[in-house]
Amino acid sequence: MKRALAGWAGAAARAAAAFGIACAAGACLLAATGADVGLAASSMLEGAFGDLDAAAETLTRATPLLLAGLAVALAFRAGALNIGAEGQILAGAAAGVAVGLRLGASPPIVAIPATLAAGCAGGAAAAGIAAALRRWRRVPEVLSTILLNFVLLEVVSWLVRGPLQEAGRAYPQSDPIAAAAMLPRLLPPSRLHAGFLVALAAAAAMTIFLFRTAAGFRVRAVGLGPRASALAGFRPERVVALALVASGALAGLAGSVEVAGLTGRLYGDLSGGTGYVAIAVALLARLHPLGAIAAAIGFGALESGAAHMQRVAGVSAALAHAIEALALAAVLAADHLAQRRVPVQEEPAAAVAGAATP
Amino acid sequence: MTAELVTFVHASVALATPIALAATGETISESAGVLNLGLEGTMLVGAFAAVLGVMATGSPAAGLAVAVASGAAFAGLLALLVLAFRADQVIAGTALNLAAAGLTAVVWRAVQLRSEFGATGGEMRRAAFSEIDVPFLSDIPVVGPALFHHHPIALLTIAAIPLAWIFLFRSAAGLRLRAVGESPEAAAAFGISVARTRLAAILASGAFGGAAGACLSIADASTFIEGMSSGRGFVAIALVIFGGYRPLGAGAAALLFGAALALQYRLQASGSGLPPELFRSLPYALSLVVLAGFAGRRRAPAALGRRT
Repeated sequence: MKRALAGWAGAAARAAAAFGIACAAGACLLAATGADVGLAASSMLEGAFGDLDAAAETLTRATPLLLAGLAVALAFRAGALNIGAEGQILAGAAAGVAVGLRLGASPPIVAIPATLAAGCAGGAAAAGIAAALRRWRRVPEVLSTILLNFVLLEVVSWLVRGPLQEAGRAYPQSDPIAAAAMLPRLLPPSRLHAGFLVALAAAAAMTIFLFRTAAGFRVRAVGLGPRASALAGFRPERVVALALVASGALAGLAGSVEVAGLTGRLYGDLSGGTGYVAIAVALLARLHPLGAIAAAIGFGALESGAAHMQRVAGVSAALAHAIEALALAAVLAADHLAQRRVPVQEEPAAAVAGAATP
Repeated sequence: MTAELVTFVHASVALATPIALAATGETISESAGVLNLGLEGTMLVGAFAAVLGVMATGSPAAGLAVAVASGAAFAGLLALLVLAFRADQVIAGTALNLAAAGLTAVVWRAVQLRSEFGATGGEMRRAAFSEIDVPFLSDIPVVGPALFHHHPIALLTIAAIPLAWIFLFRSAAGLRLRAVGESPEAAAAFGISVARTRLAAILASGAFGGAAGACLSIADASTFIEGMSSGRGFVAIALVIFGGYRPLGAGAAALLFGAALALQYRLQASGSGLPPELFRSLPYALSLVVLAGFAGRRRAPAALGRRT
């Protein structure tokens, strides 16, 4: 127990260090392009934590990152490389809007769950295509999920110019969903909405699922050693397929929460790369749901800060994506270096796989 | 009729070029057992570097050289993560793609804000690659205008694909590279340096990816646009499987794709009334269909994707 705790502390420290190194590298990049680094840094901090409103904006931006990060973590835990959260978010948002538009007569207690559930279903359906292609056509889910991202982007683009376009037909976007389907705001005038609580609840539920239920144990066992878990009678391909679909449902929930909490409408760049950043969130969190909360808030601060920085300092907000990618790369490197320094390291994957070798 | 066929094949080859280049590079790295998922980001970096190179020198050849070098250098980061830090190949590649999107956007914006460094649109258009004739070959009826009247990157691609095949399947170095992809342990026992071979294969795939990016920005277009690789790197990775992990197969697959794209543009232009999104999603949907049909029937290099 003590050792596990020390392991977690080390992992958290490495993630924090990686984040710091990435931020420093981002500052160097800005200096190289001739930007005012001091102004950029101060405006970024101001936008992330400057006042209550900024902090609330950080949590607002952390919400889809957390839900999608959980989605990625769940799939990766089962050994399924779901790179398709971006498309699944869009599918969830589209399904949520399609249902949310029709709920004008329902009370919020019906309308909100129905909208969010539609999002889950949409995301699950998108991931289900990849799961089916893997199960029956042996298509690597890495590729199918990525390619589906691009297909789904076009599908949404078509929806908001066609069947789901607003009645006024002025912009490529849907009409707003029913007011009853909108999640309540937590801290007006900030944009923070109850979706953040939904995301926290999902993280708690996933922690219990992964570490306290038999099904969660199967997911982890299949991810660590598919052959060993097959010998234990777990049917790894089935577990992987179900985990992929559940992962899609979580990413879809991220999409419908974004609609019901924030935008109210569907439009083409609704996700804006959240599904890709979610991969960095999940990995910085070591695929642990509670770690994902910290990672999502960290990246949420970065994105909220970057948006403010773009307005104040004229530096592209895409800097946030660059820093997130660098943090991911740095944590990969740090993990390897830490593993080399500590000679006796628990290697569950190798141990389980070794047991399977006849 | 013949003129129409020539136009169609010419368009197919032109549209196939960036995908074929990227797929050839990916075939080399996958043959050595490394899935370079960062190919998409490498193309973006190549597209960006090519435009900077042209802006700085006014020469498209220099732009291409800068793109090739930048692509290789960017892929070097993948090598660092995968070979030195033993990171998972898919995760490292994803980090690279994210980094490429962010870095090119930030630097491009900075470049645009600094007016002293920057060619105007007109200057860029004049400096981009234009189509040239290959002496003698372009005089062949039908085949000449279809295959040998292209911008230099397309012509280089037509030459590079058979060369990559000769290298991989008819040279000792290629045999060593494939041995590393099939069984690193056996290759190491034979005295081949697995890490060095994989490093070379990754750098080669990066160079090809960079050239593919240059094709997008200084041959097909004459400027950089954020995210302009738009998934073509991933399509190329799918085509590597379709092509059976062989350069000629990848080239043929890319040509088939080019033909599908050319057909699609023709349909779009003829006013079919179908939504443009349907046409735009075609490369990705077609990749999925091709994977569904062929992924189970192609044998990948045995060590592909495994951590070193």
